[in-house]
Amino acid sequence: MVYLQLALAGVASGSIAALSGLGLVLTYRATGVFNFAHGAVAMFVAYLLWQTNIAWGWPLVVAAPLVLLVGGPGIGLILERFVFRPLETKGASTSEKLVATLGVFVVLVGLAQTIWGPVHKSDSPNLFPQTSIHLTPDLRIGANQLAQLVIVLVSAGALLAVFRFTHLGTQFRAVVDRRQLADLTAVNANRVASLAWALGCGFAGLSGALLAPQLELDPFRLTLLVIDTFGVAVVARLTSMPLAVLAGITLGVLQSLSVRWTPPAPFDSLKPNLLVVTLLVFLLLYRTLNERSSDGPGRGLVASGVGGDRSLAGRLLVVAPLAVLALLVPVALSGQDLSSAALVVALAVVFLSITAVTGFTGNITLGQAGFAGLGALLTSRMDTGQLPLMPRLPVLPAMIVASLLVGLLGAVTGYSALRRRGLFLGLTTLAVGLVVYRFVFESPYFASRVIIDRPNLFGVSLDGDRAFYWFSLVCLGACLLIVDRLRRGRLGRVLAAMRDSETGARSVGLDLRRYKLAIFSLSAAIAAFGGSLVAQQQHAFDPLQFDPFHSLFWFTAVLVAGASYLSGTMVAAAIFVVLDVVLGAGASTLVIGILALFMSRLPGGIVGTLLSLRDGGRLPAGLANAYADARRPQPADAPAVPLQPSAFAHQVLEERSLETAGR
Amino acid sequence: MTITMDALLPSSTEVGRLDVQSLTKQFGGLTAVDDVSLTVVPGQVTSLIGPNGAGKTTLFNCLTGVLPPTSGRVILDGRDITSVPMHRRAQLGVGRTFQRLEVFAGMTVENNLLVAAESVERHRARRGRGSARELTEQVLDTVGLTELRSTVAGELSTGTLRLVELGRALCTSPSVLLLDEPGSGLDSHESDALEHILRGIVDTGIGILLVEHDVDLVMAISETIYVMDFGQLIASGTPTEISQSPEVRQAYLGVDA
Repeated sequence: MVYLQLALAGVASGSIAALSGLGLVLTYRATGVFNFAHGAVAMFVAYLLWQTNIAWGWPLVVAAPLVLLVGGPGIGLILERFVFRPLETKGASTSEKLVATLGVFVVLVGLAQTIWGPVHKSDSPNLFPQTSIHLTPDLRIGANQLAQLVIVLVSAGALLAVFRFTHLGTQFRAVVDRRQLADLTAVNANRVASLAWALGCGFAGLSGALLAPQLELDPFRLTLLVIDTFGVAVVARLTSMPLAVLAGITLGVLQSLSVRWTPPAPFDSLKPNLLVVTLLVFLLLYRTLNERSSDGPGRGLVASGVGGDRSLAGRLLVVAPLAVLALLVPVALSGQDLSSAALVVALAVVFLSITAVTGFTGNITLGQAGFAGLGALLTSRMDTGQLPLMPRLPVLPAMIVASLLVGLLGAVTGYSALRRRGLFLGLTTLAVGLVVYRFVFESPYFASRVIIDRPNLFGVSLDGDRAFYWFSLVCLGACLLIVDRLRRGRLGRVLAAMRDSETGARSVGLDLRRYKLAIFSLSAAIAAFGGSLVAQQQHAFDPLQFDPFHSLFWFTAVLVAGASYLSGTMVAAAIFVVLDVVLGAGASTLVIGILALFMSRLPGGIVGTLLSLRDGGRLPAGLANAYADARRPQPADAPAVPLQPSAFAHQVLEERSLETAGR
Repeated sequence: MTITMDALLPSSTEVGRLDVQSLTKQFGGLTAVDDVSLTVVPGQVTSLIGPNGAGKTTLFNCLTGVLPPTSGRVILDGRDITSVPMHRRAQLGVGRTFQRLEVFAGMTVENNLLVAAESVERHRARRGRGSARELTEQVLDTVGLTELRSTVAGELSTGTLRLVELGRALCTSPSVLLLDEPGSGLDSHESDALEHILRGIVDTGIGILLVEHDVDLVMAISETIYVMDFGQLIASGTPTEISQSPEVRQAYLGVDA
């Protein structure tokens, strides 16, 4: 009976996960966009409900329908109209849309931080009464739990019915298959996309409002909880709505039943993190997860060809001012400001790891904070001699060994990149970061009160802020030299080829597996090295500094600054640290998020745009457009040519004149 | 335009005869390619034509390693390459271009070719034929792109990019070249240039399999033409034979000729 009771509770909590997964799948199916901001929308709507019901005192019967039926779907409509429709019209790549969802995510988190501040709200309203109903004398179910289940089943049932049996459903499927074709056949693709976004965000908001009373509301925790439900969507291969519902409820039941299970200590974290583990396992398990796109992986993200081929003079023009600035810092600044400057330098090292993977090979990586944090943790453990099987090492050798170890883990992630690209690679790297965070950083066994020393070189202590700044700067310089090597010569050409067209690269005999493994491994190692610096700057390992949010923030910041430029890493780090110091916490998040939404107008990011202005308007955008033109479907669908020579000539001439006219 | 093709000569061990034996590809219940056998002869242009949906692209994808065939074999110089991955095929001497362009848009024309020349340098003996850079120089000249060598590929027209892809494939020192609609998007001047280049290439002994809609081009340069319809080969022969074949006229015109 206990098990039955637990299972029933699991069904209820699983139904929230199902609801969230349903929203993700719906949006993805109808628009091809996987909404990384899903969790942030859920959090934001939960805050709206708190604001109206608690802060403004509106009665729940007014506030809840308004927020959940108008607010959530309204956010979806706004996003579709002002962010994703323009991208669709422009013919943006999957990666560009992915970055836009990250932008939405970052903006919403930043807004929540700014509006509602860092204090937790522990009084989120319950949507349904907390009474329980006796099904049998021994078996009870909460009214709210019953309501959740009913909501999920009704929504799923209604959606399925609409999809199967109505004209709208047919339109939906038409748009899914081929948006351009659907446009031609007078299906209003924009209307379908609006509806999908409204429903998707509506479900996100609903799951947020249902989850909020179960925890203290802050901009992060609820968001993260909803990100966990990505696992539900992935089990459903992002396409099957019934499977999403089934997976959500099953996982809820399993999680609930696991309360009765007492695993050996290291596996204890497994119980609350079933969804995250499911996410990673299924991403690795599914052999084929076909993305609805065949773009080159990095198209639209990086201003290709502009970074690497610049002349020495052009390079000096960028490098010299930055170098002068970096050298002036210890003279001009002191105290807290100097400490912040050291953080900029340390972060720039971490960001280099993103540039190496995303800027130079076009692959998305959303788990860098996990690697960075592991680097910091391992350095500290080796420094104090607490790492099993390893001798006690001074800080600098410990940093290097830690980087090598994390590099191995990066190779494992790279292994999954062999089969995955774009979105699914992004999800896999995110999942790796999540697992590392939940199982290592949050575990008291691995990461409680970790102190990390600054290095001591040849008897000289680098503990002072000025000395540590210099040390970080030297580290940054070394890493810059290593990463710079990746875009020169033969290796640089191979990586650039891989970035521009993986298929093309394979067709000329390049075995991309080796290169991908190597680059992911190197990137993880650099992230670990930088992470160790970041922790040293703070004298301690703070798990919150390496949570999955930071992976997403960092990735977005590097793209906004200009992922194809080495100087972009320093710009991104400066934005991150300086804005928060000057304008207060959350400012950098907002700015980065807003810029990310307008990435399609900032080709090559901030650095790329500045450089192109200086180059007299030779915009990388022109380059990207020419590329898009080149990739547009060629007349494969041209009519078959009849076989009489005279007729051939005629038809060919006609086709050509049409094409010429079209140019 | 001077054509220097010496650098492209296949070595004696690599003749470049491609045999397709009873190749079938099914997607679920649909048979896209049905028991097709054909041969690409070294030093000749062999063409594959057919109406849309005839299965040409599917067959092409099976030959280049993009899709695994359901049954049948692909033999290169007696070696079974049916399940060899794409990059390995290139190393063995199968060069290809794409109907949907796959150029390295962010790289210069020269680097597009150079990266190809470098990638096979270690895998394929190119004895006495100089370095990757020399090969690139010669191919740039061959396809007439020397003047555009420093231009970033993404800034070029579709027609020019087809030449970039052709040059890139040539830089892998192929013994057989598979070309997927190299003529689409070309103006008449470019199309003539292409014909000239293709003739030069087969004169060096490289075999070409051409999938092409421009039937003038196909008729002008092919030794053998295969015609596909509904996944099956419905005719094969010389250009003259093909243009007189009733089956072909039926397939193309949909009427009894």
